[in-house]
Amino acid sequence: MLAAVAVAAQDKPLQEKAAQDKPIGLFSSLQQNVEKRTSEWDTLANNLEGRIGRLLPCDPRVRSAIEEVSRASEGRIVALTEYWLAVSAASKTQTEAVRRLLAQEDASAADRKTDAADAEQERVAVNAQLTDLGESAKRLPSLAAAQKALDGLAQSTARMAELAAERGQSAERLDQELRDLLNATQARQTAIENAMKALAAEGLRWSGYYASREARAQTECIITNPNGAAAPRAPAPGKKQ
Amino acid sequence: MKRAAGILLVAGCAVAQEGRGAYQEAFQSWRQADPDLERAAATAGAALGVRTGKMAEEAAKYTAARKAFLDLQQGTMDASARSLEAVAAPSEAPEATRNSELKVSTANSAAGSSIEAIGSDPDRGLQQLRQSIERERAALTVLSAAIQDRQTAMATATKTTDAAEQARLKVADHYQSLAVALQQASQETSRQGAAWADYYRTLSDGARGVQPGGAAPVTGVVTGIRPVSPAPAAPSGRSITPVPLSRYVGAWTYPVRNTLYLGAEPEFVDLVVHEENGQATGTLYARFKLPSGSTGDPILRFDFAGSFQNARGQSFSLETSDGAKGTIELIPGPAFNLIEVNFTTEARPGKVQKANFLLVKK
Repeated sequence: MLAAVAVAAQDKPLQEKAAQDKPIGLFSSLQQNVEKRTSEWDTLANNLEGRIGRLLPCDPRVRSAIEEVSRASEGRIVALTEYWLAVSAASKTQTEAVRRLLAQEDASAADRKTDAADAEQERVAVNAQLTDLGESAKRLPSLAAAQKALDGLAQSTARMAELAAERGQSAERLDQELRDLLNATQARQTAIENAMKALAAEGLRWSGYYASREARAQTECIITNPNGAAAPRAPAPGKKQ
Repeated sequence: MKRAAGILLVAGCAVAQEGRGAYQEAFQSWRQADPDLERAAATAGAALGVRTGKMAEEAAKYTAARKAFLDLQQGTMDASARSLEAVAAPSEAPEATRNSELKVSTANSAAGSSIEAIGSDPDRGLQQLRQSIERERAALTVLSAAIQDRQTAMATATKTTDAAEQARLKVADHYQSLAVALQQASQETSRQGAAWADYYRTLSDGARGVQPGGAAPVTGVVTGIRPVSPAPAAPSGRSITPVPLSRYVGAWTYPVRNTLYLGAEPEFVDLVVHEENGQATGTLYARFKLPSGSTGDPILRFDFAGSFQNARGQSFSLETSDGAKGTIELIPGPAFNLIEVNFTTEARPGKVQKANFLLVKK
């Protein structure tokens, strides 16, 4: 089973697929596979003791029944591993995206200041125009309309300078939010990897249990039929005995 | 796809740098073009028209460059928000875990019962079986612990995924709000562009003593124009043309109302014509009303020169500010203070190529 898990773990195309495909479709398909494999295992495992309880200890079907449940258990663990690998790949992709955005924001920090400074420079320049025009309008009243128009522009420019400053402050908050997101995605990645380790450990323990269950069946066969050979394997389906 | 998005973001930043340089340069050019304009407004009179025209052109360049920069920034914010896709929650049906625990518990109970049933029976075979069952029970014990460990790990993964998703939504919302703010700034910049054009036109009018809403320089279209008393004729001996040179020379502007034009509609026009030794030189600066949605350049500026001829209509060679060549024809209007202008230029993408309109003398 571990080999199967290891194969799944090295399934690079799956990871790439997880990052490239539409996540909803991929995760839905993997989720359905998990449900199917879990259901198969549940049915076999819940009926195991009932099935072998009706058989004689050395009946080869005892061993094959236990092996069938063990394989179903492995199938479930592999399906779960595939699902978690896809989640992990998507998580890593998002973490990388956050890193890129953070680098972009760090690089833009100086730009934000430039942006605000440029808007402020424009505000100052328009105010200077307004002052000059005010002096001229005192001497030539027909400039009053132009003065009024320029006053409107000065107000608009001042508002634009305020908005540019607000955008700068907002970007600083965004930088902190991106750092928080990066920490959160890293914590999630660690948790996902721990969950995958725990899944592998559980799979290993289930295999261990089924091996011990099979060993018990073997012991039951030996003590009830001491002169007989070990419980033979059940014939493969479709083969004549 | 994500990598491509990352490359696009980096490319966007590089382009944004170029965009910033463009608007900063345009701003400096505008501000340095005529820093004394407003101070001179009270004394320059009609001559201010050419200066305001130049300033309007520079202001239009700056606002266009600034808007392009803001639009680019907005695009970067949108792309950033899109690059953060949600990660699926690591879900697993809770009953699956409960079923696992139940299976282990049931098997454990059965093993315990079997061990109890065998007890200390001295039968060697039964003792072998007991040992086997005890090994099975030990396997169940470690399995139970493994199931618990995984349950804890899954709960942590779910919790951290929820926390990361909350943080992602916050950041995505923030990018969106920045994109909206930049869009609003871009729209306001567009409005400012139009307001600057209006301002410079109003300033020019004000410098000439024209009050908005006051008597229009032109009182009607061609048939309804109020004739103005003729100005003194050009000095004798200098009149090359069949009508006085003053019918061509001087500062002309597009009337505020009762306009007359064919083809492209001007928003404002300033024309200055000089004469020296029978040679004409001049400049035309105009802004046209383009159809809604047009991305063309509404501004046109050209210089022209040539010799006055003994003809009513005078034709001169022109060259626009972007190098297109053409001709301009000046035809004295039906009244002394009117002149008809007709020009064509070589084609330039997005530029007005020909127009015909009536101007009034400043």
